[in-house]
Amino acid sequence: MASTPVLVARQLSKTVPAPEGELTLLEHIDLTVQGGDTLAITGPSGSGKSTLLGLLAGLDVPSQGDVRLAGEPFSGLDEDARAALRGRYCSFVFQAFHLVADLTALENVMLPLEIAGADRARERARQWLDRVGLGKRERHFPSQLSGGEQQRVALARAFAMEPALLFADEPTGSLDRANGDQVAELLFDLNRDHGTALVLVTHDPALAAHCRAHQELVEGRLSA
Amino acid sequence: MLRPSPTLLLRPWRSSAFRIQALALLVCTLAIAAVVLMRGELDHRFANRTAEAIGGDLVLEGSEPATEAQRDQVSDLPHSAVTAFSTVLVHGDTFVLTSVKAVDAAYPLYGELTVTDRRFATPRTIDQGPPRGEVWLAGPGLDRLEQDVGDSVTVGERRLRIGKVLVREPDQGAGFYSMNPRVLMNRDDVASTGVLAPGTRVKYELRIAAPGERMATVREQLTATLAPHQEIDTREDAALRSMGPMRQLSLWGQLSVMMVVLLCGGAVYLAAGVRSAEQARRCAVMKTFGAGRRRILGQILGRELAALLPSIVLGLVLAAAGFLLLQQWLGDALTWRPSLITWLLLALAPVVIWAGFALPRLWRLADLPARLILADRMEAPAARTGRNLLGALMAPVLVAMMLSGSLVALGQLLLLMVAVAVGLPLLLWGPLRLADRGGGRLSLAPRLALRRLARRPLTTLPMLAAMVLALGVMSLASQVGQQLLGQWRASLPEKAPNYFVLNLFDQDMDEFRSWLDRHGAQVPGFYPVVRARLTEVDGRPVREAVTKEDDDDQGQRALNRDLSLTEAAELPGSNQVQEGRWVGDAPGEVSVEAELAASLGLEVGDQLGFTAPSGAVVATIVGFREVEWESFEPNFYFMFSPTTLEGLNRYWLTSFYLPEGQGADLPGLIRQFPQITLLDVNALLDQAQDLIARASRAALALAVLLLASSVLVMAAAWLAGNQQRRRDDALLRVLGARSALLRRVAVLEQALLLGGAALVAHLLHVLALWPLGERLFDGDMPLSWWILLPWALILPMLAIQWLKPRRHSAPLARLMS
Repeated sequence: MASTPVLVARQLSKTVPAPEGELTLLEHIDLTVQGGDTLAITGPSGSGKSTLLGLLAGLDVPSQGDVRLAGEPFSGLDEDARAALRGRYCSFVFQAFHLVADLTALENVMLPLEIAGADRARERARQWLDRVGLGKRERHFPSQLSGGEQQRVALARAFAMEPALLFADEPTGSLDRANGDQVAELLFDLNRDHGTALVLVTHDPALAAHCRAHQELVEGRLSA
Repeated sequence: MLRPSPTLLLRPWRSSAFRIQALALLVCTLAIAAVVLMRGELDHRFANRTAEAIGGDLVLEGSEPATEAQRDQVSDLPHSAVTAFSTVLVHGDTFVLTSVKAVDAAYPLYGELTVTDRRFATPRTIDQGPPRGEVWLAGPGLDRLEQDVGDSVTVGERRLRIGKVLVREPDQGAGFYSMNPRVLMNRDDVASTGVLAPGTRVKYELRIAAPGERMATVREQLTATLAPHQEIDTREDAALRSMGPMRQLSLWGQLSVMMVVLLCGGAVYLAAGVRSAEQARRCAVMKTFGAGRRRILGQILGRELAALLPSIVLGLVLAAAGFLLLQQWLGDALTWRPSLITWLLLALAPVVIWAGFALPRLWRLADLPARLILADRMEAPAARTGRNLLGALMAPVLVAMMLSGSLVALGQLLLLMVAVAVGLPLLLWGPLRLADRGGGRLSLAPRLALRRLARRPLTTLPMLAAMVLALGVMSLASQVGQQLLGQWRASLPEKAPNYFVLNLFDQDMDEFRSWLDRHGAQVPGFYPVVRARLTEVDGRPVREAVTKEDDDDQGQRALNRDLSLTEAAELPGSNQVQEGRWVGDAPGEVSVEAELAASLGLEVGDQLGFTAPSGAVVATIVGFREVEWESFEPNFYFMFSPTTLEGLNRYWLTSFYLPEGQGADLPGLIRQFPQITLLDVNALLDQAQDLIARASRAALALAVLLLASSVLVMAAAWLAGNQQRRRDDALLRVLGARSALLRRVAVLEQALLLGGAALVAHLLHVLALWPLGERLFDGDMPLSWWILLPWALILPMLAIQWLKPRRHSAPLARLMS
C-alpha cells in the first residue's frame, strides 16, 4: 500500500497586483514529495523559487490550487493554524543561517521544540548539537561561531523536531568550499538516517546532483 | 541644486526615525532654554545687586549700636544707621506682625525706594526714607490692617501716620522675618514707641559706602574694634552667601537638563542610524549619476536640518511662554531681558546636539562607495566609530559650558553628569547580568524577552537608567509636593503648640499667665532668654580653641552670631540626655545640644564663656542632649542650671496651644503686651507648604521632561532594533510560532524594561524618604500611594502594546530581504 506523500501541491498559482494589471509569479505547479525523498529545485534568479517555497511551506496563500502537508490541507486555514501545522511537520535551513542572535546555540536548537511544546526540549536539543559536532559550544552565541558552525547549528535546529519535511534554501550559498561540503554531507546524512524528505532550492549543480529528483523552475513553471 | 521647497521639507516627516529626532530636539531645546532663562533672571536678581541688597559695601552689625569710636572711623565716608526688628502693628481688632527697618536721613546709601502715594497708585522712586511721625507700609500689611495712606497705626505705645505705601526697597532681603509685611519708619521715632527694651531681639547696622579698594581698608580698621556681639558683612560675602543655596538649586536644575540633553542626544544618535540607512540608497544613486560630495552633503544634510528647524523654533517658543509664566511664580515683574545673543545661543544649542550625535553618521554616507551601498554592504569602518563617539561627547560638553556659565561650575556639572550618566547604568549592570544568567531556565517567551534586553547592554542600560531616574523623581516630587508636609502635620500631637511668643518681660509674666489660664491655653513651659556670644572655651578665645573653615558648618555659624541662652530646672520633654547628665541645682552648669557640641569639638568638663551686652557668663559642660527640633516646643542649644543667668538682661519665650475658637482674643493679647512677637505656627507652616509645593512643581516639570526624553530614547532604540526584531519574529513564524507567542514576547520585553525601572525607582523613592522618616516620623516610613505613580504610566503603555494590531507581512520574504 502506497504511503501518504509528505507534500502534495496541485495546480498551484500565484499572482500579485501590479501597476499594469496582475503579475503571474507561478502557474500550474504540480508537485509530490514522498517521505524520505530528496528533490532539488533549480532555476535562474527571479524565476519564483522563494515564492514557491513560501507556498509549499504554508507561509503564503496561493491564488489558485492547494497544498497538502502530510495529507492535511493548508487551504482554508488561518495564519496561526498554518503555523501550527508547519511547526509539526516542516523545518527550514536558510542560506543566511537565520539564527536568533540573542539566543545561545543550545537555545536556538531548542526553539522549534519549545514552540511546539515538546517534552525534554533541552535534552533533545543537546543531543542534536552533539550530533552536529558542536556539543561544547552550546553556550556560545551566533556571533561567536563561524559561518560553517552557525549553519550546523541551523541544521541541528532543523532536525531537532525530526520533521517529515525539510526545506533547504541555498544551504551552502554563504559558505566556502570546505564548509559547504561539510554541511552538505551532514544534511544528506541526517536525511538518510531519519527519513526526512528534503526539498532543496539551489544554484549548485553538484548539490542538486545529490538529490534523487530534480525540477527546474523557469518563468513560474516547473519542468523536470 | 534643487532649492528646498515646502514639499521637500515635509517629506522627511514621513520617516519614524526623523520624527523621533525632531521630538528629541524639541524636548532638549525646551529644557535648555527653560533653565538658561530662569538662571538668567535669578542671577540678575541676586548676583548683580549685592551692594544694594545689603545696603552698603560694608555693613557693621550687632545687637547693640556701633560705638562712637567706630562711627568716627568712617565719618569721612557716606554711612547710614539702620535698626531692624519685628513688631506687631495694631489697628482696632486687627494686628499684623511686621518686619521694621528704622532708618536715618542718609538711607538708602545705594539704590532708590519705590513707593506709591495711595494703595494701587502708580509707583515712583524716591531717595529718602520716612520723616518723623510717619511709617511706610508694604501693601499686604495695609490690606490686612484695612488701612490706607493717611490713616494711623499703633506701633508699641505710639500712633504713627501711614505716609506712603512701600513697594520695594533696594535692600529688601530674604529670610525668616522677611515673610512678614515690611515697614519703614524714622529712627528717631523708635524710642517713643517703647518696643525696644533690654533683651529684645534687634539688629543694629552701620552701613558704609566704601567702593573699590577702600572697603578692604575699612574692614581691617573696624575688625580691630569689634565687640563680641558684632560682625562685618561685605558685598562679596553677601554675594557668595545669597547665591549659595541658589547655586545648589541651579546646579541640580542644570544636571537634570544635561540628563535630558544626553538622553535626547542618545535618541538622535539611534534614530540617525536608521535615518542614514534610509538615505543610503538615495545617496548611492546620486553618486552613480555623478553628484559630487558637496552636492550630496548639501542635499542630505541641508534638507535634514532645514526640516528640523520648526522643532527647534517650537521649543524656543514654548520656553519663552514658560519664562513669562515664571513671572507669576515669582510673584513679581521680571527684571532681566534675554539678549539677542542669548536667543541665538539657545537656537544653536540643539543644532550642536544634532551635529554631535547625528552628523557623523549622515556625513559618512558621502564617503562610502556607491557599490557597497547598492550591494547592501554598508558596514562602518572602525575608525568612523571613534569619530562618531568624539562628536557625541563634545556636543554635551559644549551645551554644559553654555548652561554653567563658568569653568568652576562646568567642572562640577560635568562631574555630576558623569557620576549619574555612568554611575547609575553601572549600578544596574550587575542586576542585568544576573537576570541574564538566571533567565536561562525560563520558558521561551520571557527568556527571549530578557535576552533581547540583556544582550544589548549599551542600549538597555542607558534606557533603564533614564526611566529609573525619571520615574523616581516623578513619584518623589509628587508625594513631597502634595502630601508629605501635610502628613507630617497630621502626625503631630493633637495639642501641639500653635503659637510662639517672644519678648515677654519679667513684669509681664503674671498677667500673661492669667491670660493663658482664662483662655484654656496649654503651656509646656516658660524660658528666660539671654542673647550672648560664645567667646571662650577653657579660658582661651573661641577662635583659637575652635578652628572652622567652612562657613556653612553648624559650629561656624554658632560662632558668628548671638545665641539664645536659657536656664531650666527640668529636662524638657523634647530633649534626651545623650552623654553626661542634666544640669543640677547649683549655678554654673550647662548642657549642650549634641550635634553642635560635636561640630565645635566640645567635651564634658569644658568650661564655656559667653559675653552678653549686660554681662558675662561662665559655665561648665555637664552633658550633651539630643533635641527633637520638630516638637514645636522651645528648644535651645545651651541650657544652664537655674540662676546661672541671673542679673543679665533677659526676655521670656514660650509656646502654647490655644484651643480653637479662642483666636479672636489674640488682638487683645497684643494690645495688652504690645512689645511681644507672636508667631502663628500654622500660618508659617502653610507658607512653608506653599513653598515646598512650588519647588515640587518645578521638580515635577523637570521629571516630565526627563520622562519624555526617556520615552524618546526607548522609541529610538526600539526603532533601531526593529529590523532585527521583525526578522526574529519572521523566523519564529517560519518555525511554527503563533501570533500569541510573538505578542507575548514583545509585551514581556517592554514589561521587563519598564517594570524593572519602576521597581528600582521604588527603591530610590524609599531611600530618599528614609532620612525624612527617621527625623520627622519617629523612624516610620511615610509611604503613600504616590510611590506607585510609575505604574499609572507603565500599565497603559503595556496595554497599548498588547492591543496594538500586528501587521502580517510574508515572513519568508522578510527573512530573504
